[in-house]
Amino acid sequence: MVKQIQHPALSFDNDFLKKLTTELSGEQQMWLSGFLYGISTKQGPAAVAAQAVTVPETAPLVKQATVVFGSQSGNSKGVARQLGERLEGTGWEVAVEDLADFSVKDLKKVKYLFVAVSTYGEGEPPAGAEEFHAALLSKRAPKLPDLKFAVLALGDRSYVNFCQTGVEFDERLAELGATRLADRVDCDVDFHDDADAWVEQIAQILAKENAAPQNGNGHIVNGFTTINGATSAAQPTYTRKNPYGAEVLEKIQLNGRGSVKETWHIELSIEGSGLTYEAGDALGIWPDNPDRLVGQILKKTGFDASQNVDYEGEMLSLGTVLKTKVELTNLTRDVLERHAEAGRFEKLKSLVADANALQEYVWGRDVLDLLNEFPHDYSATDFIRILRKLQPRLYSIASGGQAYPDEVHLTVGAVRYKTGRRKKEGAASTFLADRLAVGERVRVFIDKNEYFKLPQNGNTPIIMVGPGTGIAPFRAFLQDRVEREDEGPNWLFFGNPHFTTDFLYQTEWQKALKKGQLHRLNVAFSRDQEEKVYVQHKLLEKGEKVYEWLEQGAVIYVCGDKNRMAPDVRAAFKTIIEKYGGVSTAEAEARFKELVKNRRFLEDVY
Amino acid sequence: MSKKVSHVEKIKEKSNYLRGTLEESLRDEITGAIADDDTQLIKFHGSYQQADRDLDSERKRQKLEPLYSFMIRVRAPGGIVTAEQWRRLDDLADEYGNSGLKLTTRQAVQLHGILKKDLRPTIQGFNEVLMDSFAGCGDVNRNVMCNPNPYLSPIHEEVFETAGKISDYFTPKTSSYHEIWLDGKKIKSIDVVDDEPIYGKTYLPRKFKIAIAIPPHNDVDIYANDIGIIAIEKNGKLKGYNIAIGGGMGMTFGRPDTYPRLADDIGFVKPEKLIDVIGAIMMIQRDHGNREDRKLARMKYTIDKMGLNNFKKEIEKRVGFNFLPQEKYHFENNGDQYGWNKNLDGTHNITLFVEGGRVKNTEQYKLKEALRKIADVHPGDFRLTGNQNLMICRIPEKEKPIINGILAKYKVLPEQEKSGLRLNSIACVALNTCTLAMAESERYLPSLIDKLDQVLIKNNLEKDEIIIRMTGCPNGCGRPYLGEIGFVGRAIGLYNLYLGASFNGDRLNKLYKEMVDEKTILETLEPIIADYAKNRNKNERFGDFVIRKEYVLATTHGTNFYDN
Ligand code: SRM
Ligand SMILES: Cc1cc2nc3c(=O)[nH]c(=O)nc-3n(C[C@H](O)[C@H](O)[C@H](O)COP(=O)(O)OP(=O)(O)OC[C@H]3O[C@@H](n4cnc5c(N)ncnc54)[C@H](O)[C@@H]3O)c2cc1C
Ligand SMILES: Cc1cc2nc3c(=O)[nH]c(=O)nc-3n(C[C@H](O)[C@H](O)[C@H](O)COP(=O)(O)O)c2cc1C
Ligand code: SF4
Repeated sequence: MVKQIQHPALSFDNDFLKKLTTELSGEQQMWLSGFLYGISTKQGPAAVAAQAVTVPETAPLVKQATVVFGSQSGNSKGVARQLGERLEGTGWEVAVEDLADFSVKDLKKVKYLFVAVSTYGEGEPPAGAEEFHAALLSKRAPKLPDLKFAVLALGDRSYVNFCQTGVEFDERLAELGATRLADRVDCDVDFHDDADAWVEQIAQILAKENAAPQNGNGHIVNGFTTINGATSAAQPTYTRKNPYGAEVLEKIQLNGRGSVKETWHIELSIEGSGLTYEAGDALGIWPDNPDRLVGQILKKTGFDASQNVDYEGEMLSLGTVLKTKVELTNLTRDVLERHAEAGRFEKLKSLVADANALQEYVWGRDVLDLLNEFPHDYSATDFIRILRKLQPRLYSIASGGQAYPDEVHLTVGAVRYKTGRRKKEGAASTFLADRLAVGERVRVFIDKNEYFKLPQNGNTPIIMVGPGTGIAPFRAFLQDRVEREDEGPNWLFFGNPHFTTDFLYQTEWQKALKKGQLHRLNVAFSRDQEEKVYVQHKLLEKGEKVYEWLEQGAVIYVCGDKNRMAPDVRAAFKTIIEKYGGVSTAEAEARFKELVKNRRFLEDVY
Repeated sequence: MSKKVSHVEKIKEKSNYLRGTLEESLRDEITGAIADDDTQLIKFHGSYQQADRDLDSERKRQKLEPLYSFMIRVRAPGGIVTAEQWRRLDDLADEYGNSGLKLTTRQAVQLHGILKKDLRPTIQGFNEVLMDSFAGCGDVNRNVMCNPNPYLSPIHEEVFETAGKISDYFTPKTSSYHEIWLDGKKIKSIDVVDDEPIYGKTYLPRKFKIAIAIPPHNDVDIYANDIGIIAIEKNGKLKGYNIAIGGGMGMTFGRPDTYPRLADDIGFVKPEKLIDVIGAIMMIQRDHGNREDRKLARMKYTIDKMGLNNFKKEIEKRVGFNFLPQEKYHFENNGDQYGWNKNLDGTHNITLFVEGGRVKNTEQYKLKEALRKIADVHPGDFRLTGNQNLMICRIPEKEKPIINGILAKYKVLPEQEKSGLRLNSIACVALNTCTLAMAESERYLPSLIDKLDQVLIKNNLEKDEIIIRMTGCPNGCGRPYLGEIGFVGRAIGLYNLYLGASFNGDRLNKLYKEMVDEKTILETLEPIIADYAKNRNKNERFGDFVIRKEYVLATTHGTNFYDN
């Protein structure tokens, strides 16, 4: 070993070496050798590799493919990994990359590109893929004549901009001259079957492809290490398609009398189900539709609830289908399209074609509205065929998976509203609030969220911004921080209309503060004074301290309302960085982006 | 003294003249409550922390803290409230309170249900019309009571002024009230050095109450006070005052060393000596009162420990002169005289019965709105009686029809046509705001009287005046031990029944039955009332009758309250 130390900085005289070897006891020498070895390897495997291995001048004819994903809750990532695993042992060397760590310039080195990407917001890419997305769509994106690609788009058909990001990637890559290996596949929330088929299709296509050498050299293969060290949990037996019937243990309406809100705390048992979860995950709930709406639709159509119909190969009573198999409370584009087709409603057709008009139309309307506004005589079978399959709803889990391994708690805002003279209710939220009693069972599954997770390092400070039902995951976070004996400080921002009635989990926070488990709590009760005060105002008010925490490496979590709260909170953080970091608006913007990219600013908004 | 002083004494001591951590408590946005120690201090500022007790268990389940709010007791010296002040209180109750006003047994107005964040605006709100809540509660001298009836006596004006002077003289001098609630910053910057020349920094051992009455009306129940003052009139002039000391109602179940006690007459003083004498009495209590056990801290116990005579001698020693012999006087009643009457200056007053002292609007009865309408047009003032009732005073002759019109329109006048029992009823607040209540009182007594009225009607007694009083606990805020029929709450739905107080407030009643529910109450009282109807002497009062017929023994002094 000593001989190899030829570096000038490391040269020391023989006396020193002699001293070392004679004056140290055997035990000490042993220890020192271990210590020195430790130091040398700390320089990192890449550095060691770079020194030790000479890079071949010409790359061997390996078949190399790159799979990238843009994912928020982990679905796309899962599919990307699945593709990677599928191609193992097929002679293809595959790199699976997060778009957050991948730049458009890297594309020039890639020959085969497979994209799995989801869509968020109103047709926006997932946060991690924002930068790549912007670069790819910009004028400065490079031409990519040598690239072959295929896109899998994940999304949710109930959103107007269905699979928007996937569509944009697919079209833009083609525009830049790349060759489409397969038509884009758009997946609805129920994406597994389509995704499986796509993976298989790609595998078949690649099997027929002749390998072409990669451009450039020394492309480092990341393999399949998981991001952030997260472990992929063993696949539970209960899934979205095969949900677990969880017993309701407790139901509490959390808002005090006179509140304008109605928020339910619901405790479910998952004991013995084998289901596991972590703080930050969501629970999927399969609801029953509101009886009133089912009744109104039967009355409107004149159908008999007890008549049997064939629904996807099953003979069921029409009442059962309407109650448990199809969406009635929401209207989506696909339903409007089918209805327009069936009734030849030109007006409806043009509406569907106009994204903005469509969005406006579907908000606050349900299937009964559609039948009232565009009446059409269906047979019962035809009617249920135009409807969309019932979708499960997600709820952030409000209990810590470590603190409550056998239970799942939820914080559910009951959706009730009126249009004209009709009182309407959200399917799942009022299913939980009204139609499900303690002791009964509800079909559930765990919906993992890969990124909205506590920091691995327990000393990391965290700032949680969760107004309204957005508080849910933070109750879980705090429980698990305590359970893990994490020492990092916790800061919570909460808001709702009124202090006296809407301070969700107030006594729990008070206890946590007293015990020193929660270190700071700031609250914004919007309607308790003349001017409205929201969490973003409280953040700004405490801006200096918030910035201090950011400097100390705090991770920021935001949960709750997507449309108004989330953008305002983002803006507040940018202002704080600008003001207390003493930087320009542009610089603040850049630093904020950096936070997002480094997953230190995480959102779970809906 | 070897014994440890009570916790409240320590709080006062370190409070820096009633400041404590009130500022921080007000700023804490995570709770609607204030710090524990501050709950003691805020009383001196005229406010009590309470919670809506109806909702306690429900909210606990909802993971919400109790619905904390504050009661504020607004002082009305001598019970007088101008029309402008009334309008303001009416507004504040709507804006920040539970929208009702509570007229108290000590001629004050209470606002209930004020949230912590609204304390300042509320206090500033009535401060603007020159009202305050300072020393409304706490271990200091309280609002000095005085008969509200200006028409009754030529010396009323003078006596009324004296009451105001006593109040002012013994109001604490600390600037903390001003600083915390009104315009704190200004005062702080002058850096005032605070001081309490009379009280010292631990104030009195316990609350201290003074009332003045002009015979023959004892509607302020002077004997229930630490100092009862009887104004003596001679030929239309104020001659001086008889002084009685050592009254108090509060007692604690299971502690026979606590008892209600009426004040003892100790002699007569000239008007100009009055303040000195009061000061001396108060200072003896300051120096000798019990500061270890708050249950034994009222002056009544200090007197019984020292002996009445020794106490009297100590007063004389401190003031440097002797009491003159007591002047003769006679009290006829301790209730209110309802209806219209005329003042010496030709203006009119009307005294209205306000059940439980609660001014609010319900579907059936919009008393609050009616009084607001009157306050909008009325040039005179309002006066609060010691029986939770209300007078509209100094109404010019030509305004009388207008006031009558409003009262008729809002059905306030028919409300005056009630049984003699109801018109002589008092019920303390109790549930849902009073933290100490063990049973209902204000919310329950009206329905109990409905049932008793049936018994009275059967016996042709519905017009007879009988004093009935109820409290939700033994503290005695509705002076239940001075009821010819008294109820003191033991537990939800259960009361101790007391009988035999006098009609003019000079004799305590006695326990007749313990822990009775409504059914037993009715079964017990029915035969006694029937007996009374049949066998009473001419003009014999119910309270006297039950003693003559030996339903109970007469209580002749607080110290024999428990003797049967
Ligand atoms: C509002 C009022 C009763 C009413 O319905 O009118 C009242 C209400 C309360 N009284 Fe009183 N007292 C009221 C007159 C009285 C009287 C009658 C009197 O002074 O003529 C008494 C009996 C006389 C006496 O002082 O002995 C009285 C003896 C008490 C006591 C017992 C004192 C004692 O020495 O044992 C307490 C408890 C305490 O001080 O510890 C008390 C305490 C209370 C409190 C503040 C409860 C508390 O300490 O938390 C009650 C607030 C209830 C609420 O929700 O408003 N209150 N209290 C009266 C307000 C008077 C005022 O304007 O200042
Ligand atoms: C990751 C994630 C986590 C979530 N976590 C939570 C959580 O912790 N707690 C929680 O309560 N929710 C949470 N949600 C939202 C939840 O999944 C449901 O969307 C919500 O409960 C409504 O479902 P529903 O079936 O009751 O209503 P639906 O039957 O789906 O009806 C919703 C429809 O009603 C109409 N509508 C709703 N409100 C109005 C209105 N005011 N005026 C007019 N029309 C209206 C709109 O057309 C809307 O599309 C989360 C969502 C996601 C994606
Ligand atoms: C807040 C939110 C907004 C969404 N917006 C859209 C959208 O506009 N269009 C769409 O097709 N899907 C939308 N989706 C659905 C997701 O794209 C879909 O759930 C996808 O499976 C998520 O994949 P991921 O886990 O890889 O992020 C949205 C989902 C959420 C939670
Ligand atoms: S008597 Fe007792 S219950 Fe009634 S107000 Fe006073 S303290 Fe409360």
